[in-house]
Amino acid sequence: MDGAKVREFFCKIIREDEDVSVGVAAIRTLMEIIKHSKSETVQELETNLKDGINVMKNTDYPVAAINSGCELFLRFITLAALDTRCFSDCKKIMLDRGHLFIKKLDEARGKIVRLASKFIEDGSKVLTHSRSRVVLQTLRKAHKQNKRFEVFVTISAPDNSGKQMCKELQAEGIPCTLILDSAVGYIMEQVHFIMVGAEGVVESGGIVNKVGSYTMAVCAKEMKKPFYVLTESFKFSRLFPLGQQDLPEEYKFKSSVRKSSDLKKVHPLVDYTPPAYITLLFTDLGILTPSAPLSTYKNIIWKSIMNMTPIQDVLIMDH
Amino acid sequence: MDKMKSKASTDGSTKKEKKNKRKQSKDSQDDVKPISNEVSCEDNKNELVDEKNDSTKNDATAQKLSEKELRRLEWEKKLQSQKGDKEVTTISNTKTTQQQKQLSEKELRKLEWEKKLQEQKAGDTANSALSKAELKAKRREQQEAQRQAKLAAEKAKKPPSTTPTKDTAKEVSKVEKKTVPKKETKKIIDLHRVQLVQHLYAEMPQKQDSKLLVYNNIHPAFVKLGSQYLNKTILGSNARTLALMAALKRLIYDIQTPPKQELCRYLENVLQTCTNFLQNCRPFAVSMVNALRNFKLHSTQIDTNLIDSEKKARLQDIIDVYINDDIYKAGDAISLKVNEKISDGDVILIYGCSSLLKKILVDAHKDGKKFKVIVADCRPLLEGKEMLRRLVVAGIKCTYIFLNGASYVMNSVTKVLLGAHALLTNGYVMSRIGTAQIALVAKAYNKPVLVCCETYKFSERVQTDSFVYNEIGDPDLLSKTPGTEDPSPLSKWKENNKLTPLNLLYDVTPPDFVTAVVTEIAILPCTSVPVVLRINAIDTT
Amino acid sequence: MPDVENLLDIRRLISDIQHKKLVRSYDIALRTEELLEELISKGQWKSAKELMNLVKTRIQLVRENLPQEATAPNIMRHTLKVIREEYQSASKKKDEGQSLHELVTATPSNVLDYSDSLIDLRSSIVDHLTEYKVELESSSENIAAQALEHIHTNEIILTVGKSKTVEKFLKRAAKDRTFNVIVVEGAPLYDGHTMAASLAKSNIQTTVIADSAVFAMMSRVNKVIIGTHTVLANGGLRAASGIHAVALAAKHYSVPVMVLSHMYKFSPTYVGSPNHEAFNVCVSPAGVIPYATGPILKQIEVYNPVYDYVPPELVTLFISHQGGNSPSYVYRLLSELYHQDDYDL
Repeated sequence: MDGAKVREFFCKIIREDEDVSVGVAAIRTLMEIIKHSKSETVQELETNLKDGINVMKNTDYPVAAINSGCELFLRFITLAALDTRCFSDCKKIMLDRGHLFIKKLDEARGKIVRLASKFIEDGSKVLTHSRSRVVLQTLRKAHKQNKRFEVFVTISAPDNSGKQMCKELQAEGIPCTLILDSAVGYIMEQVHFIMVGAEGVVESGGIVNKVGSYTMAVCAKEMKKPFYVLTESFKFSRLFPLGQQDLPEEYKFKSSVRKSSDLKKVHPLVDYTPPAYITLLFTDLGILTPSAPLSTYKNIIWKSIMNMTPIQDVLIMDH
Repeated sequence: MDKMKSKASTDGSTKKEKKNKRKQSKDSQDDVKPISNEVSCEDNKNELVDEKNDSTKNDATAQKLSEKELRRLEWEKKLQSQKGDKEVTTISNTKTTQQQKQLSEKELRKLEWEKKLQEQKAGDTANSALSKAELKAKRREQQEAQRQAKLAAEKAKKPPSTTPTKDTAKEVSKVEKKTVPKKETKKIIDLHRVQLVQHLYAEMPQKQDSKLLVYNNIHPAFVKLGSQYLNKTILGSNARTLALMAALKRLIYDIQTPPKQELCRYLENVLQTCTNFLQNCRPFAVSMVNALRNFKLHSTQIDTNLIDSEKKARLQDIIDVYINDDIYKAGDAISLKVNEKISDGDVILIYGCSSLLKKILVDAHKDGKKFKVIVADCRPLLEGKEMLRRLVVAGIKCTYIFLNGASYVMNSVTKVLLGAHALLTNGYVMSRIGTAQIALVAKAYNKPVLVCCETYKFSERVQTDSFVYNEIGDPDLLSKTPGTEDPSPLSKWKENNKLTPLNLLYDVTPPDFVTAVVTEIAILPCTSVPVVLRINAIDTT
Repeated sequence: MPDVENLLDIRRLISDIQHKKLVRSYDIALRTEELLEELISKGQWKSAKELMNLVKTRIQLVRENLPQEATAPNIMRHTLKVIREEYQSASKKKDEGQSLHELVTATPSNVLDYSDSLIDLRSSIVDHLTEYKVELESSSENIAAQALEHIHTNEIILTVGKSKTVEKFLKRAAKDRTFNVIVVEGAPLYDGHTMAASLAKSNIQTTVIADSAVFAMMSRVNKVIIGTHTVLANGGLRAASGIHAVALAAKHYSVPVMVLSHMYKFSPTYVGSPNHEAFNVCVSPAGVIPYATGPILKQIEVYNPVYDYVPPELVTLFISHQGGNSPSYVYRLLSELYHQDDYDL
């Protein structure tokens, strides 16, 4: 599979299937690459895959999700290679596991929805930012449980993805109001809590998400409203940003922009929300507290790392 | 009784002092321990001699004292023994008219023994004339002297003269400790004081306080008022001020100027005695101080050439205008301003009882606003119950909680209204204890907190904690548990000197918990208090 | 469906808690432990799976009847973990962890289903539980033993109401150091009175204040030491009502808040908001306003909530028998105490 094909396949998934997140699409594309790969060795295959990843990263979809999803998937490839000696067997195992992996990822969202929908109470007002599939499903689920609640959605410039979110919620019959991004402070007083998705969860326990999330989180903290993040665990990535400037540029800007223009003058796509502003993380691994990194982890291999967040715990266990 | 003018003055006329004391011992029928702050021990020879009379150990008194006092007492005794014995006679002569009192068998024996010793020591015939009652009277005096000594010691943390004799005093006290059998029950009164607020106990009024008995020539209206303050039947800054003003009016009405004296001058003197008396019943509220200051200021501006009845009418006018403008009209104005902020569907949390808040809420209810009130309350005074009753009578929907339920209801609250005792210049709100806590919880839930306060309650004082200036209520109120028949485990607190209930009456709320103060002038941030004070000062001068 | 006969034991426990025959969480813990020991040694079960189901039905029953009760379910939850561990070591099968990789690589053949009947299982679980019981019994002793690490001379310590653990802790410290204790009386139960009387008897300088004086006194307090009803999974507390205000005041004056808690009080439950129905419970208003108040009672509402939710940011330290931990560590303690699958039953 050459680059163009990979790109086409990847974009097609995202375009056609509304419910698929970018990360899952990336993993599916990698599966496709394995299926069609004519390589004879594991190493060759790995190179193929890495090329594919690079192609995907250069599309205009959020890199954070692609990165963490692919990173995780690649790890299985190497692990599969350890399990067997014959390459054809190895490829089969990889594909089997790939399917299983995708199945698990699909289940993950259901699990999060189940956990998070309990936090929506009758009569509550929810604020959400941009469009997030897992938040949408959670709200749907709560609505199906006959809970009465109201949702405020930010319009989320520049792509105005909030509009679509609002439409989708209204289609479900959930009372929904579209608000300006700049009205977050105004609306904060009356909402009960905030629910957002995430493009990536980083090692500090913070999140990388559509620009504006940070503003919302800071505002929520000031107003003492809980800030909930709903995210699948495959979005956990090995990255420890120290601040907005420290966030990799590929996260912040589309590839086309990155190449052509002066980045100082371009609006970033995402921002980083430090863990101090997040109340709880709902993941398929359960509910996690992001808070300050203080826990000690008794893993023999990782003994040397003494201070870790729950997120790091999860990441480290995967190695 | 003008010598009582200065409560804290350390040197008083010894002669009058003595007379005063005699009166006390004569008047007080029960075993009240007289408290007096007037005299410092060092200068008062009479006292020293008094002690000399009982220079052998007097158990009953000695045990009352803490170690420190004991040491001090010993030291005094030492000093006395160096002095001549002549004065003893003068003392004993003054005491011959004392009433005979019944003494317990034990006390009798003790006194007899003391008497013997005194006789031996003094070697004077005068002493043989001493009756038991006199002895008791003397003991009282001695107690008082010791108390004074203690107070003086507290005031001037280290009396300079104690240092040289300290070592010997220590030794003596050690010896005494061994010989004197201890009776804990007498000692606790002094030990049961929370270190942090030691200074407040001195001002703490006690029921049947003998220091109140020294006042005569007090107008009956003030006597009644004093007892109402003391027994807390009149509570709340507004009510206390209004009652004071009413008593003052009565006094003006009744006052007869002695010949060759000017009414206002005379009134001032009489008023001074009366207010001193009231101060001893309960320390003044800021509002009362302000009201009195206003009255005094205006009374000096009255034309001295007028006849008395005209002056009286003018004085009455001053009071009426003050009550009307600064209290009633101010209340109306505040009520109007707060009512603009109350809207349908509001849930308003209030704390304790406040006449102003009641007025505001009843006015809003009359306006047809549909709102709910949550009355928070706390022991030991449970003033909220009265507030609840008044609001329910007015037809307002009410919920009643204890302070500990504040966090539980705060989420549903939309506004918090609080009354105030005083607003301090640094923007802190002084109010009934617990107010700060309500404001704190409200802040944690991002609820607006409005403090309603007339400007006449603004004070020039600054304060950042609740200890420097405060009042201590009756600790016994805490040791009772309401609603149950069984006595609280605390009821015997006096027997254990490690256990102390503390009943503070006020606390101060930092300005960052308060969204705004509603005054008759405007809705202000807390920090604008000095501005208002300045405006008021310009207005009055 | 398990027949009703088998659940008699737990029903009796529930009724005893409901009727206040068992009040202290320590007593509840011991009773639950004994109940489980009985169930394991004499109950009708053949495999670990069956036993786990027996325990799970009991947890569910407690949750239905006493939604606020945490101790009994926690003990049972821990027992579930014990059963799992013993089964694993007996059957030599490893539990797949929670890591993504293991989730994916798991094949159906090596999935644990706890269905094999193993001979030694019964005795090994009972042995394990007996150890646990010893741990329970010595727990408050172990907490008290740390007293000197936390209290220095001449401190002013504030505590609220009555807690046996706190009482023991303070008395232990008082053996070696002199300090002052301020006890908040804790209306409407006023159990602070008992606490104060008891502390004073042990020669600790004790001051009793009304609930309203907390903020005023807090400015002079060095430490707040309290007990709690439950420690929630996010590190927050379900504690006696009034403690939220105490913790807020402590935060305002930057006074550390230490919470003494036994391990069985750590619960893997999250709370959406403190106003959640299952979180709090209001009891008879008689404690707040006596029935004798008269006809006014018909026209008013009275709340007498039992608990307060204290968010984790207001807690400085948890002291359990294992030592001190910060609230952000609670999730880890929980994963050591219970199996992930048993969190939400």
